[in-house]
Amino acid sequence: MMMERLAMETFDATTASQSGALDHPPMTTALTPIARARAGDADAFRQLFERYSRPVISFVFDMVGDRALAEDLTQETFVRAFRHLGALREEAKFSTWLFSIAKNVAREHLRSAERRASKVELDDESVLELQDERATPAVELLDKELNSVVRRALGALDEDKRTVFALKVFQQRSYEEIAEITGFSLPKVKTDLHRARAEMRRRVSPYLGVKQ
Amino acid sequence: MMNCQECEKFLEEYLDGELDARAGSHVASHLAACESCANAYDALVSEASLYASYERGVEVSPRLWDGVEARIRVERTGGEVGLLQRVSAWLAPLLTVPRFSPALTAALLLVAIALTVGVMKLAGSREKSHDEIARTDELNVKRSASPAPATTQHSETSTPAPTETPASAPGATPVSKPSPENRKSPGSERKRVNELGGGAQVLTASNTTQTTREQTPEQLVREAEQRYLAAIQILQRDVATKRTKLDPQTVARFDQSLAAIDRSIAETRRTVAEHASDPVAVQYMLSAYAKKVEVLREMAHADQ
Repeated sequence: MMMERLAMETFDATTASQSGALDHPPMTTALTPIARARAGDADAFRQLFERYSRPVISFVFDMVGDRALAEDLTQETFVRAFRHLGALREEAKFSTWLFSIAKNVAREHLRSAERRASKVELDDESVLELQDERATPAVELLDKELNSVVRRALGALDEDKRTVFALKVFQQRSYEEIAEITGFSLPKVKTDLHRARAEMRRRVSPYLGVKQ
Repeated sequence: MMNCQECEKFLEEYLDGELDARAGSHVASHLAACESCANAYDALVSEASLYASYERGVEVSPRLWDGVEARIRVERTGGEVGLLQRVSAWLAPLLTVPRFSPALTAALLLVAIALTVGVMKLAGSREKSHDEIARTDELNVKRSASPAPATTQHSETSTPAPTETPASAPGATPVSKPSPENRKSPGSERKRVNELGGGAQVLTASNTTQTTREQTPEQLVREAEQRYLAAIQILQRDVATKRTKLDPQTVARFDQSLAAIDRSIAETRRTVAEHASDPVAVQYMLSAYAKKVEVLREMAHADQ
């Protein structure tokens, strides 16, 4: 995850520095993928897609908790990104901008699906049952079970906390970037993140000692 | 030296690397000296480690890019196809998302269609003032002689076309079989063909009730827009002939209103194109057309 984030930062930094190189005689090849995609170059946009689709689909999945849906919403994210590339002010902030689109797309879906109980409920009793039945979980089942518990715990967070938690803990975004992506104030980002961590901790705590 | 309470407050930010160098060194110094806070920090690190091992099982499949590419291609073709695709994309969730129940969707479409009916009645009422019938006599005789289209409308004389539309709306009772009393006369259809001039699509829609009955919501909206455009064309022709008889100030006032409405139409069409998820975009667009019809009609009657 961290490596993915570092690679993304490097990519952003590269595109930004290449962007600065536009002072030199214009050459199509010197343009960044973002600039070329802006000009309608589908191959350049594909490069961007290949670079960012995995973190974006992971984030969207964290938000909606459904793989097929995450794929559809990721597709929508990239289509919107292509459509509005002209509105991107700073190339260096492409990934932040892209994540803000992904966040909007996921939230729009969640709001339209509110009646269908978009939130995956995880009540305390089910956690306790898991804990009771598996005081010493088998190692081979642990990872699978843990993934399931984390996913359900995420689904039980409210939308704001889930967004902030996923962006910080899974996408390694800075508080400032999270504020930019979500439109939340920095204090809200910190408060939501703190509360999200506490809620998640309560739900995954039975596994903390076992995993080590 | 930082105390435990202060340290605890900053612990998560310290873990996240969000503290400045000075605050960070204070926390680090405290952790080195305080076992309790060091344990709390270790617990946070353990949590982070657990989350780092979280696997979602989601992969980027090749079809994901295929889907993006296909949609981008449609976007890049632009123009009418892009617009229709987007209107279609807007209407698809309209029918399935619980927020817009089928009943509400049908109601929305009926509102649009009712507006259209009004416009076409207006258009029909103006038919007799035009005498361009002869040019398409032959065409219409052929159409009426053809057994297949089975136009199923109302009286033999006036307002032939508009009332077809409600039958095509979702939930409306379809006309199952043309009967002699509701079959449109060749003459009424012929008049309409001529009156609407370039509105060939309107003619097509009116000719084929069975087809209309099976139209999708996006087709209905598109048809409504086309009918407004046809009606506007007729009224503009009328207005053009009467313009010179009107007081210049009145003309200027009307022109000002029409310019504002045209801007509204352009904006709402853009909204429909760009914000497919906007549930009222189509409604606003059709309302803007209706307003233009209203103003043109008022202008056409201003000298009376």
